[in-house]
Amino acid sequence: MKNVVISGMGAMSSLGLNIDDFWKNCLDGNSVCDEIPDSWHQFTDFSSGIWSPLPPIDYQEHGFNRVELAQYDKVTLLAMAATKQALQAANIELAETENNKRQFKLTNLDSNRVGVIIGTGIGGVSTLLENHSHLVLNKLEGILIGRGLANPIANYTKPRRLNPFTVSMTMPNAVAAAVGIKYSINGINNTISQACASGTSAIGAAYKAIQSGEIDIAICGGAEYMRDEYGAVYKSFDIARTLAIPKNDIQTANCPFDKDHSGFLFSEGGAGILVLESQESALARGAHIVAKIIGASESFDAHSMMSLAPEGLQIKRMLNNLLSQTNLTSRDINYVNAHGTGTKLNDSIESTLIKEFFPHAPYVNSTKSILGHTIGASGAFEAIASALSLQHQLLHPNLNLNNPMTDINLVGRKSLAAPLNYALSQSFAFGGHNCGIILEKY
Amino acid sequence: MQNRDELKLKILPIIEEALNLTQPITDTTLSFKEDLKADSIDIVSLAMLLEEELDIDIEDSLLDQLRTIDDVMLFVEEYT
Repeated sequence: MKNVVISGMGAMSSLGLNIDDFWKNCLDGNSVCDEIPDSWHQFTDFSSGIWSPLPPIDYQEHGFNRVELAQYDKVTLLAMAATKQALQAANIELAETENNKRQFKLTNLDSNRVGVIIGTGIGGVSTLLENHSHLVLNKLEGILIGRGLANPIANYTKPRRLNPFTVSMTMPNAVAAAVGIKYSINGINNTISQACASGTSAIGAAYKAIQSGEIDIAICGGAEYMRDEYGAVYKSFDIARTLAIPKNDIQTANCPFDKDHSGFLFSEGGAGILVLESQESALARGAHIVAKIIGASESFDAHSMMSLAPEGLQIKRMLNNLLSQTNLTSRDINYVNAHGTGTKLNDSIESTLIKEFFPHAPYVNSTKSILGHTIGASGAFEAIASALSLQHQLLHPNLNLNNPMTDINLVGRKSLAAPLNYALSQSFAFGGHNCGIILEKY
Repeated sequence: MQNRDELKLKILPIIEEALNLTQPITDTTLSFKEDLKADSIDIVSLAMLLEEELDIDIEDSLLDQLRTIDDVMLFVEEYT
């Protein structure tokens, strides 16, 4: 079995559009939390009303031309931009192909031995909603105008044409497929859709594919984009009562593991991409190794579509599998990057499990306390945060922790230095998916 | 009706961008399929860029008739 290492990472997030900014803002606890767009309020009411928007992104500055902008949903553009960063960080050289299709090939690598495994919860949903609105609203507006009636939808955003690429923009596998096409990668190309566990599951699948020798290198992680002109995706989470509800200051509403927790901070989206490869491949290329991945496991609750099984038996089974894979005991784990959504149910079950399973009180934090919840990308960002924690021996804060609802060893409101050898990053998802990976300091 | 040279200045860069051509177009009789090796996806992309840039609508049923650069020039000439 091959040893697997992380040799490159990329991030497109509300905390920054590169790994350095992402990590600095994690350490500094610089969360981005704002009111949702005013225009959404004309369609419905919201219980939460806050979100974590991405910064303005000029995709052409990230190397895309207008044809690509017309053909790819933003979830795919985010993933492709983060992939480019990760490949550069991994010191993988690119050469443009000669077919005038803006494609590249990975220099000095066998493309059959490279794979792409990327998770996404809802793929190009914003494209589907936008094009659905074209069909419905333009037709309706035509009828109103034709009958000489008042036109209350005149100011609604309505695309002028139905995008002929709607299918290939909406399908969840477009994300991994676009990355594979862009970089002429011919190994396994897989899409994992396990809601909030998609990113962790994708990294786990990539780890196993390299460990078994099926491929040498994997581009893996997660991507999500959840903004639409009508707030439809946001409202779907809001009506399910999963989102943080501010009491006074919106900046403190996102507070996983705090007594005031009320739900998660909805993120506009983002992409976290990692280059995983066999240790021998990384060393042969002279790549800079960030951390090792030494285990990946999954289980399924078979309990409820939207609630964790209260006893967490399948999470414990997943954790036991991880430990037996890695020949570690629970006491070897120094740091748990928690799923840490901030919903009462998650925080209660997860903190109870951590206390029971890790009685030696490893450090615990929630990357979502700063980043918000990027759904299918969240596990990837949390793996990146875990890898950087091991590399720098630093833990980012668990933001807005004023009155802990548990006595697990939560990192407080400030980052801290700590000796770290092994980190667990775990994700739980709507549907009932439980995924975890263990990373080791390199 | 626009002057044909003015039209060329507008349209040729859009075609070069849509088809990712590395050399400027000098011959407007070139066919998309045979000469420029464009596929149907390229033609749809071209139509979307033309619509955006020139504020025009191109019916999907018309795309099959746009076989050469001159066809596109003629269409835009007549449209505008």
